[in-house]
Amino acid sequence: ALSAGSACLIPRFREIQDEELSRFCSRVVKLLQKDPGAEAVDALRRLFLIVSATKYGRKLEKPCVDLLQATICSPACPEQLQLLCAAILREMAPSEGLNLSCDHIQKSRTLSLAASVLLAQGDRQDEVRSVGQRALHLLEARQTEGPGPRALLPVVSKVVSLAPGTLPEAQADMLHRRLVDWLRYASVQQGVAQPSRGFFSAPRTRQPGPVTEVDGAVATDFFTVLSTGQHFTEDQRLNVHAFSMLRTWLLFSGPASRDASDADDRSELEGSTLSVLSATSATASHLLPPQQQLRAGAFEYCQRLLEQSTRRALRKGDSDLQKACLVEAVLLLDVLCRQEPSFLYRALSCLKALLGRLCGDPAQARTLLPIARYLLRHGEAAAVDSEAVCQHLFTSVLADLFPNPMLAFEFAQFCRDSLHLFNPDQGTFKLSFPNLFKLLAWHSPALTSEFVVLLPALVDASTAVEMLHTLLDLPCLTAALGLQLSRSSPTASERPLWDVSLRPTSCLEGFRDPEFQGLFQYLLRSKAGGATKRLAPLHHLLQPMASCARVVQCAQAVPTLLQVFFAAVTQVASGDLSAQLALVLLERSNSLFQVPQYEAQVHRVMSSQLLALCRLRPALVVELARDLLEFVGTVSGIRSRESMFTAVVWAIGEYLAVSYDRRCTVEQVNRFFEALEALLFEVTQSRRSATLPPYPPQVVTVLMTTLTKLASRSQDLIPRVSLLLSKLRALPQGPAMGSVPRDEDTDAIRMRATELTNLLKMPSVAQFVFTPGMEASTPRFHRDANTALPLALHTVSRLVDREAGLLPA
Amino acid sequence: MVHAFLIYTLRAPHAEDTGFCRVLYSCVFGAEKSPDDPRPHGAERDRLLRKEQILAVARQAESMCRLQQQASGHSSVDLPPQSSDEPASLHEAPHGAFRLAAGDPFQEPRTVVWLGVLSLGFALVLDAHENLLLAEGTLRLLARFLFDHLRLLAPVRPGSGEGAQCCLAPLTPSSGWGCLRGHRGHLVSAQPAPSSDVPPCTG
Repeated sequence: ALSAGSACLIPRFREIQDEELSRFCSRVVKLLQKDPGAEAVDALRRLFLIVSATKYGRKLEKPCVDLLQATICSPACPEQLQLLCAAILREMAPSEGLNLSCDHIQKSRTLSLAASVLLAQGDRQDEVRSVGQRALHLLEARQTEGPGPRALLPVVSKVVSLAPGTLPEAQADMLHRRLVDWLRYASVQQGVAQPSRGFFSAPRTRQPGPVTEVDGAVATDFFTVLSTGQHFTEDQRLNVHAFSMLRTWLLFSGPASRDASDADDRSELEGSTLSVLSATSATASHLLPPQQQLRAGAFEYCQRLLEQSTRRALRKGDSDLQKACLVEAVLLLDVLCRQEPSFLYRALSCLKALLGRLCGDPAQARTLLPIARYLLRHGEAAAVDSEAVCQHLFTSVLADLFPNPMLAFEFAQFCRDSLHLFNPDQGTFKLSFPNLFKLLAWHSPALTSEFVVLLPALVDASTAVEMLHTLLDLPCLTAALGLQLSRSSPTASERPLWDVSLRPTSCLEGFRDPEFQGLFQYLLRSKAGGATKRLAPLHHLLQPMASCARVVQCAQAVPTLLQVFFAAVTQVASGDLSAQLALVLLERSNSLFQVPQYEAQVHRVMSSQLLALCRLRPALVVELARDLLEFVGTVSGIRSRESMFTAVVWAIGEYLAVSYDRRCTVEQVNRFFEALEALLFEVTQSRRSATLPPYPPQVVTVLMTTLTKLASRSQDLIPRVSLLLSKLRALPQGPAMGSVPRDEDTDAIRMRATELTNLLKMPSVAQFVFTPGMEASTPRFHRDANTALPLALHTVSRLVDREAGLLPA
Repeated sequence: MVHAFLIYTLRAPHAEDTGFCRVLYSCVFGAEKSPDDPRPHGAERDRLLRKEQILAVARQAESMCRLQQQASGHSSVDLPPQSSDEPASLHEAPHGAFRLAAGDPFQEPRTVVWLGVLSLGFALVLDAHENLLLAEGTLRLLARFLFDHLRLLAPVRPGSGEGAQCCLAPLTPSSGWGCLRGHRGHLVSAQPAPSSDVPPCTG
């Protein structure tokens, strides 16, 4: 295989020492000077590989570098050698010793090669501008014969994209005019076959016919990139090249249009000649300034492409080309209408005429995206149509075509670029998140970063709870989509959509089972409905698919997305919504699709987000008292969701206080205390058991700490907690674990028990430490040495450390 | 506008640790403006940075391809024997696109379109808002050209990089349309030999 072969060649070229390289350079010099033939080609190839095999610079002898540059500019040298010399110099770029200059180059082919080297230098010495000026100078010289201008157009378009707006206006005007000529007046007769090749094709006397359309009909209007023929003439090739550079040129050639292609700043719009232009075509626009002539010509070209794209192509390649042309034409119309709003009306009527046909053809879905963006961007005039197209895109296109990776990426990019254009009143975008998430569920590696940007814009207070459930069920959605696909295309053999070794027959039967139909329909819905359904039965049904690579990939993306979701939702969440979200976290921590590693990772995010919600709204603990008690009421839950459990217990200790919520009563504190006390008892009992693995020390210490905090707020409880702590200080060493000589877990628990006991000895200090009040979290209390806090912390740490140090070592 | 084209190696989708992803060929069409770096060896550091940028793209494209292959349940075993000179159909080859944020690794945001054919990956690095239908078509065409002209799956000889150079030369960076059009000319043409668009390639 190639990969293996070339991979082992690379080190060989890297190992060549400087001395050997220097000898080799001398040989290259001799060969190039003496006889630039096959041997020189071979030597240059080797030199190219030596230079390109390493990312570190290779030192070539100066005479050699000079000769490479001279070869590029030498008119007599064979083209293959020149290509190689340019490739070597490009590989070395940027290099400090380069003295290649384009100022005296006369041939456009040579300039094109030299430009490839010069533009690779990173514009350290203003190379971009000088290349651009030279290219325009050669274009001005009007060598209309040969491939002259054709080699220069890519250079010019690269230059304007690297350094927008730097070309002198007069030269830019010259190119505006010539572009119009090339675009609009290429011949409509086919070219003649080139007689140079082959024996059989030489004597052809038949006159070439007119160019045709993609459907075989004789061309009805001027030549475009979509016209067909056996051979092309030079001006037809130029037409295609001019079209290639058109969008870049329109965007970056003028000093007024330095904005990036997607900027929506309308301040640069020029409306001065609107009325004139709207009635003028390129053929009748010779009196206009060159830039506007070009715009008018470009507009006509686009119109013609739109017309040509409706023809029925005879060849598959042509139909692909039609789609690409349609997209390019729409992108061009967008640029043109931003520069000349007077085109808007005519452009809209062209596009509207297309829409009906395009919406009905799934093969055209990708061309709809730029059209939708155009309609959204050009606002009020197109509001009705844009809404209709968006509806179509967000419903049937997403639901039917989500497996296509390119469509998926383009769709995400379309949403991302149009975020500020979606009409918030109509809500099509926000309500379509279940459908949009199908893209994410199916293509998570490529689209996670896109959705990190999209998600905050999709979050809405009215659908937040539904969205949270949907995100948590995302791997489940992946599995369901897989089933949907394998059912809708039973001939999956031509394109396997799923791991063939898996054969999820039971899942497929379940997918057809009426019992699960409702749940599947809900999972695969296209719009947010407000209501939520519990999908636990599906988790069970889809379990055989949980280890599929696609499901696992999707599961890996969920924690990141959850974090993004919470960061966004906390911006819009009311107290009520926060409580609902916290409840979802408590409930769903026990009901997740069992994908390897998924639960542990999601629990980590859930627990930190639960704490964050409580920090934002401490009253949640009082409001959700019943649910929290229920959550901590079962010791069995600890093992399966330890991080959630720790977070809940910590939140109780932190926020169950009158200072946070006046509704917090002594009875409530006592109820929590009793529940947690019983739990701690059970947990420590189980530590003595030799059969069960012990609970992690974090669980014990967080329970102890929370109990102590509660006691500090309801002082009748102090004796009870002191008794508990004293027992824990005397906790015996756990059963010996293999070769570990000491049980560090038990030490940690004893240490914490000692600290807490010490604090409780001074109830007022304890209250201050455990319930510091909200102001303690403001920076001032930590920075200002005159506040009581630093002093108090100092006292407390002395108090705590004093006796902690007495623990047996 | 195309910023760069690269060819890199693909590892088998399910093999965990069989070497690195290597860039076999890369061509940058017009470099981004170099930072003003007054320290000595600025140019050398700059070149290193560019090579690392391309490698970063290759690695990301390679892992996208591998993840997609894994997801669709393909394993290396599914690959047809590599004795044939040309892959069965480029239209069924794994392909996709992803976005590179500004500064990671290029100054400007970019879009990468990639195509995986047997053990080779091909990728175009584009401006963020390029016509992806065109880019995709161009990439397939390039891959097809390179397979046709270089017999990429034949035993490797020195010079394949230069061969790519020859093939790419007429497909200059921005003439995506010329490239598509030119190629169509060939297909239509009754003559078996390539027209003057493509210089004979000896790589």
